[in-house]
Amino acid sequence: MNTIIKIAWRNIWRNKRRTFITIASIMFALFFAIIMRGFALGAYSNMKENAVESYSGYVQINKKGYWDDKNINNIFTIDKGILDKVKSTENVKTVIPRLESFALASTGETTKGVAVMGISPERENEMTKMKTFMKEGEFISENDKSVLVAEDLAKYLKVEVNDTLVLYSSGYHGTTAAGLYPIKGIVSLPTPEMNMGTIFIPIKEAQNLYSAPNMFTAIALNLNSVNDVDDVISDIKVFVNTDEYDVLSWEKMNEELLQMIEADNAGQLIMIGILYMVIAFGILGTVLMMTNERLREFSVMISIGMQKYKLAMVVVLELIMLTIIAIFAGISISLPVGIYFYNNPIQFSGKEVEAMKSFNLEPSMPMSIDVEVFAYQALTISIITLVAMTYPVIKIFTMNVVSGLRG
Amino acid sequence: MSVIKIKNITKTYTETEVPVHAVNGVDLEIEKGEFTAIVGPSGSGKTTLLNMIGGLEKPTSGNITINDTEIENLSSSDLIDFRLRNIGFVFQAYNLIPVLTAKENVEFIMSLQNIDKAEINKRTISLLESVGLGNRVNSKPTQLSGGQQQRVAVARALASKPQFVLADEPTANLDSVSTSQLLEIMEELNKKENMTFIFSTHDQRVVDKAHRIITIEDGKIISDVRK
Repeated sequence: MNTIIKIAWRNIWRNKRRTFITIASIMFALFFAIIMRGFALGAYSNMKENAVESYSGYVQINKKGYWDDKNINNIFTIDKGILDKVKSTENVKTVIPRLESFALASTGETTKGVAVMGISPERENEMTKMKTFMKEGEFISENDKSVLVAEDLAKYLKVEVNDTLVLYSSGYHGTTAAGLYPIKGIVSLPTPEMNMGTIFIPIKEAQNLYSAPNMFTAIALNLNSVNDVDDVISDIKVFVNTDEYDVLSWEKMNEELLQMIEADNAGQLIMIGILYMVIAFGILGTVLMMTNERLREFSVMISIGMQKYKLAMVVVLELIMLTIIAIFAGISISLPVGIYFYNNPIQFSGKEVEAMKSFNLEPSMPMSIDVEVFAYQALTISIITLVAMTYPVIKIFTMNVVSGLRG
Repeated sequence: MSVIKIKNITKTYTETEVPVHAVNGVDLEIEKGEFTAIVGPSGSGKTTLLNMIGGLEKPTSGNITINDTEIENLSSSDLIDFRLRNIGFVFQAYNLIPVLTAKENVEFIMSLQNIDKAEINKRTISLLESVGLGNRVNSKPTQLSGGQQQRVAVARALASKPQFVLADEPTANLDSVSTSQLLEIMEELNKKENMTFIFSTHDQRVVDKAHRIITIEDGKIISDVRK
């Protein structure tokens, strides 16, 4: 075995220029693929995180049918015992009650339809880190009778901290919902759509506004990890009456976003597929050359007594070593770039910002450095090499030794 | 005692438009320790006969027995193993493994036989010294002259302690000095170790040294002379 490894290793370096070109081509392909995938997955992950952590939560409990018909009459009360059970479910980090509806927000002569989020400020902050989004003023507390206004909405309404805002809407069972609220703070939300039309109000005040005491539109759950979603849903469904309530995963609540990501991802994969196709032909070209120029050598080795399978092992080992070196090199140059852009996301400026906001995208692009970004690309290269390996192996097993000796 | 017994072998190539009878009804026996040259014009069938004796090609008909083994009945894998243990090869173009040193080229054959490492080392040094290359053990083939490479090839051929050595035009690419050195070495090995050598050659110097000269023409033996 030692001899086989020794021959394989030295064979890699007998034509250094070709080896370096092959390694470089795989290395750069891997680099570009990792960068492309890293940015794409980073952006997707950012979008999902924004959607989950700034709004939907990983799991929500709603009145049955609420998600498809978000109506102030589609709200519920929940038994304290059940709520306690939800809180104590394994992997549930925070339970966040909400009362959400719509209203017309008006100040002076400007009016806009807005989403009114009745929240439990401290608990909401645990999941959404809302306090970090504060631009001006102060964060609201549980018993406040004031509101937080999203930054772009504040600009649209031309309001500042301490100005007063009128909210007018329809309350529970057709009551009139109207209120005058001082603005306690301005928040800059990561999702452009939310940043243009959201007002946060303490949940008690929201229940007053909509004449819905102790009622909720949603109980959002923050979990330890996204991987716990399915388990938590199964656990909750044991004690929550599913005829009365929906227990929804973040995927169900963000179907449109996931479809958009899927469509974008498909385009990305086609691009990377083309890149890999080019590389595959490069690798195959190298394999063809290194096989055909050595047919005489292979014939000699078989003539003097080397079994064909051992000879095939030499060639396979050569390709495995070459691939490992190339993958190592590719990852080595892409990892520092990945770490840099993970910590310093690309920030868009100028017209790009508006364009991205119009697609409800955050105008910044972090790079994902998840193991899967690197592992999938390395695996793809390995599969390409594995396929390319079949050529010399088949050639060795089917070659005519006498013809090979004649050259 | 016959090492090789060939009975009425033929080899016909049918890939061409007109079938070519490269070897046509050859009967031959080679005794242990013979130093035999097979001569004849180009295309007479020397190399084909040598290839069949070496198990590289199967005869169209007839049979070849080497030490009681009918080699045409062996499977491809068994034949490779048989060659490893019984036949040494010396090629016209030396054909050393380019990435291995002289020593490693000789060791390679023995490592395929799973011989003990200490034994491999001892035998390799002894073989390289016997071909006059004890001081070039760590040289790669590209660092050796043609004559030196061919001497390494002879050492490699003998490494597995074969029953006989087949040498196809071993001096064709060598100058006269290298040819003389190589022939002396092979003659010495033949005398000292009673090693059987079979050459195919055009080289008169090889013919002069041979103890038995088999002339072949149109695939048939037309003379078989023992000196």
